[in-house]
Amino acid sequence: MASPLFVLICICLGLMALAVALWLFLLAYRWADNGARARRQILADQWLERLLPVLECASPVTSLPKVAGREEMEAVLGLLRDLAERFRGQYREQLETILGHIGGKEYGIGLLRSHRQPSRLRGCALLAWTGPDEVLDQALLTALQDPSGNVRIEAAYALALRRAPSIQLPEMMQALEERGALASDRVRDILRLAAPGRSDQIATLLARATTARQRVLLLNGLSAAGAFDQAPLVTYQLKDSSPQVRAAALQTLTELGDPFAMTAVSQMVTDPAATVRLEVARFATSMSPAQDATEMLLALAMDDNHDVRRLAVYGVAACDAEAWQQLCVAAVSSPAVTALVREVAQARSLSVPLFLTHELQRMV
Amino acid sequence: MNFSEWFDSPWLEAAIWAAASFILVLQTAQNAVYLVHLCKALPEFLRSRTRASRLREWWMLTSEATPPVSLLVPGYNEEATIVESLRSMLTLRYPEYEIIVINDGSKDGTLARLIEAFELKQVNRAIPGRVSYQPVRGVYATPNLPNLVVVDKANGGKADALNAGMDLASHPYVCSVDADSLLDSDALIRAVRPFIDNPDTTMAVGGTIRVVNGCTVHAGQVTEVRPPRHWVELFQAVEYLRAFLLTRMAWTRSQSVTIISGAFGIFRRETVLELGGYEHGTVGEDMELVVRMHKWAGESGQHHRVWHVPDPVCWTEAPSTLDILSRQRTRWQRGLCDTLWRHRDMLFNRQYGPVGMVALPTFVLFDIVSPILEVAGLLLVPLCYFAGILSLEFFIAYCAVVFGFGLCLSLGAMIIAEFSLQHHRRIRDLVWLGVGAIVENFGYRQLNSWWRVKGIWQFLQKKQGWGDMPRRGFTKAA
Repeated sequence: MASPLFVLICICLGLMALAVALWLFLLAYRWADNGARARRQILADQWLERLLPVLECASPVTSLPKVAGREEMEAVLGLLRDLAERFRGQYREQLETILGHIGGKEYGIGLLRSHRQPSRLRGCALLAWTGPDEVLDQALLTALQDPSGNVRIEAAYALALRRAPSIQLPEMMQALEERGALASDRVRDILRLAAPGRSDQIATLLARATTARQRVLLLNGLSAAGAFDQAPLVTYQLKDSSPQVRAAALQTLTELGDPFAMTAVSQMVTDPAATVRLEVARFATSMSPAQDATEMLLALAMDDNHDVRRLAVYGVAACDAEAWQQLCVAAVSSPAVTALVREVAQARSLSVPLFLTHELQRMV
Repeated sequence: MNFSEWFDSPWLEAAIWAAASFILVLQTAQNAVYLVHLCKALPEFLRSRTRASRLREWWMLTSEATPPVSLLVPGYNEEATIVESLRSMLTLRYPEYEIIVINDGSKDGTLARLIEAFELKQVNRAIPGRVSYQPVRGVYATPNLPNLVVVDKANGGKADALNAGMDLASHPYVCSVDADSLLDSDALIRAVRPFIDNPDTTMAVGGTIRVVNGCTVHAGQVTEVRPPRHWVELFQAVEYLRAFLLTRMAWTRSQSVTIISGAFGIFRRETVLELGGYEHGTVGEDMELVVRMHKWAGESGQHHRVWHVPDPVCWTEAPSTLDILSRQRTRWQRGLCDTLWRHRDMLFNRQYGPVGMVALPTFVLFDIVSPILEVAGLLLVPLCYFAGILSLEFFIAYCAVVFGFGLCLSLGAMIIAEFSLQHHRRIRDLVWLGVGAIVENFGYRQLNSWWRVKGIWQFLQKKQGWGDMPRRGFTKAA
């Protein structure tokens, strides 16, 4: 029987040999990959010359040849992605037509059926760029039931970006929640994209929401929908026990610009959560120079939290001269506010009363 | 009993056998654990690849969900690299960020270079004073670059400078970046992904640090990635993959990342301020903060995560001489010892989850105890073999474990990192890196263990301070 030391030597030598073999494999793989990259680059260069006239509408889409094979398709899609990124959606309509012509839709559906998660993610991303098509919408709706939460997010984003008429927010939210995808802030974007014209659906969901996270996301969606008629429902959320929900409700009210919420918001000036008071300051700044807003800002300028104080002082500076004078008087009692007044006065080129100037010089 | 009798005593022989066997078992166990790390890191690499599509980056660039970030750049006598470093940060692809450079009482022309290069003017800025740090002498800004602020303060060390920057930061997330480092233009957008995917539970995220030596740097950006040409730098390049990247990916898998390099790490500002900022009087302030965060989360019952993300890269200039490298490594070891000592109550404490039960005990065993035994083994085993006390088989087994396992780990780490991150495209670069991964096991790793032992000794002697770290500048380093 072999001794333990001999076994140990054999294991070490075996691992060494395995590592060297893998290193050689890596070299071979990289060599092959470099070759494939070079081929894709050549194909991309050829296609760039063909695509530019089509994008500029100088040639019809039908002048483009059919894509032959997976490698060429990948090269063309990479090129289209670069062009889309570089031109920031400028040629979006032409890109949709080109994708349809070269078989991008079929390729995207094929990717969605792949057993590899990265391929399904890419499939969703590709279909997000294609034109209106019920079959594609259906394929993406099916992807909303994918085992992976990431794929569900990507599918929901694609549906929202395509403005698919078949989107039902309750189903989408449920699909995302099932895989814990609601935790991601990317869902905010999805809801904001899908929100316009669906404020009733969002309001119903908000009324039935059971978790703080759901309420935060839905409130964000309401602000994107510009649902002014839902402002009372949003104002009601200011009483929520979660500071995140209260802050989100305030953000929504700020975006909606609802002056009727002023009374309710003014009671939040003493909210225990600094994040909420910060949002109150934002709301008040957006509502200034309304009298109530100015009063809120003056109160928040004396807040314990530096961020709240700073935002409020900048907010007061944007109000009127009278409010600024009031703040300067109040600032004398607090070195922290005096320092902020000094900062804001320089940044906004505002004058500081003489008595405060002496105080500032003393501080310096 | 005279010396000769004592030397021939069976008791001594048995004691040496026992000690050598213990060293061999510990070395084997250590390498086996590292091999497990290698296997654990692989799926984490693959998972991060699925999160890293370029389309996703574009989405994040235009998304309202991408949080604004304050970059904190502490600098002490950094006149050689500060301007280029800052130019690299100003070209970051990120929707909203500010850069706060903290001149920590430099004795060279760091501040003057900054003022001249960016046409800065002194401005009034309220100092909140939420954490403690040395007095601020002035704040500088320019209307041309509204997202750049330079804070000039009295010298107080890196932790002190970071505290000052954190106090003045206006965004909810802060990213500490070393002044002698270069960030890839997409580094920040890649690094914030965990904060977007898990905003409620993510406390901190660390990016990958890589060696810039050998690379081509142009206008503050690494334009061509090449391995270093000099041996000492090449070994460090391999070591950064093996010891830092792979290990941290494995820790990410087991939710117990305890080190986020001070050169590139993102933190939730409110949490750090609540904890009182970076700790003064330690040279391992980056690890200390992360361990303290875990401690706070464990005690307050928060569900939290600290991530290491492999693809955002921060490039740093590696020391090119053994003397400077030795100073750096002994300092790191002192920092580690200091953190472990400060938080010794977390060891084997279930309250702190995998950090208390696995990560910190592993550090104690493999980073404190093991280097001492490794150095002892390197002296003891060959001497005793040649004295005829240990058998040839034992000697070969010891060499196989020290060199064979090590070689396997170094090459394995390099292969996984290159396979997933694909930093080096040229075959000859991969060959050179592979050679570095093999050769580093014959001398460099042993030297590293010696520096660790020195670091432990210095810690016990209560040695403080960073020591000089002269920089050549990126162009010269490259």
